Amino acid sequence: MDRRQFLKICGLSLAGFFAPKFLKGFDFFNKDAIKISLKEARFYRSADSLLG
Amino acid sequence: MKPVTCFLCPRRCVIIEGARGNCRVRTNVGGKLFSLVYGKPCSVHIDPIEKKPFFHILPGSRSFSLATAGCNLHCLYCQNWEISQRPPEETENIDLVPDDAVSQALRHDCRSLAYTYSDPVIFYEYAEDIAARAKKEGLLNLLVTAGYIEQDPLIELCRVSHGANLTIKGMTEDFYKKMCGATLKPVLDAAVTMRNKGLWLEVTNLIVPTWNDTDNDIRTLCRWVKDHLGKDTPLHFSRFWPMHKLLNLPPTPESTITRAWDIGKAEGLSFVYVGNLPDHPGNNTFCPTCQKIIIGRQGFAITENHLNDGTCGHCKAVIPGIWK
Repeated sequence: MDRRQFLKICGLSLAGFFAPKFLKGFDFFNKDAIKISLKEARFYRSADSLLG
Repeated sequence: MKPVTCFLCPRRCVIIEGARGNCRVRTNVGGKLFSLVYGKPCSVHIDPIEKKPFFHILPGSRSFSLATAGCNLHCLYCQNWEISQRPPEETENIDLVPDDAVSQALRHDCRSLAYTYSDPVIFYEYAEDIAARAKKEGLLNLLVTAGYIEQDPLIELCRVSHGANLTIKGMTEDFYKKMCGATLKPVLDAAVTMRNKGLWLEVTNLIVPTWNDTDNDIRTLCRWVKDHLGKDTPLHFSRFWPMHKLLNLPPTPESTITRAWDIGKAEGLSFVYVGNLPDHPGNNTFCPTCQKIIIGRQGFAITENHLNDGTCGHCKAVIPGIWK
């Protein structure tokens, strides 16, 4: 294996390792983010305020 | 920490930051409570209205039915446990904003929307927003619920709703505690409030062998319904099928359901029905005056309909319900 092949393999390995972590930052690769939404609920109060 | 207390249902969960309520679908983010299921139903179907069951609302019509993941009860026999006992991340959800739910209902020739399968209580904000839009379009809003909800949110929901099928699962606190991890009194209060707010109310009771199948269990329910909701309130006795955590029990014998049907009629209820037994005569609506069949049913299908503008086609007696 020459130096060029070695660097290519190292580069692809590093890319393969970091790519999923990078892509997961986007919502469309995050399955959970697709499955839920965030809408402010009604009928709640700060629990601290209830303690007076 | 910024904990919040949820006042939607009688559990009144105190939820710390990052945690969820008992229903699995409401979470505290930075001291604010959020619904995780708004616009994210996991079940959307067009069902016959008889499946809900509603036997006194637009018989033979279609109902646009939807649900999200989660539930605030945890019944051992839950028939929809695969969605109700899961957080939204573990169900297959679609995107359906309220306007689209209403337009799809209209496009598919549905006369009503049913908030069902799990429980509209836990997708309250979503159900209420759809219901407000649907009402403007002339569609009926129907709640299929266990009625485990606080009074204030219930009263608001009643303003945009037309009918409810409320399940009274048993008539003792002990039953609710052991079977559902909940309490009975708020459910009975909800039933009375729905009636007082003018919703068309039908009641369902799932009869489970060894749990709530004695004559006394059935009679107590019938008397409560008659005394607090009125004798014209339809009462559906439904057959249990082994499910979820009650796989050890047999299905409810047909004779038990027939016994409940007989008790209901003997207690003076005008409209007693059976469920999950498609060939049983208790699927039919009988006129309380002339005793003849007004609406014949085979399972969810209408086989004959002698209703004439809200009256019995045989004797002209007025039959309560929402018929047009």
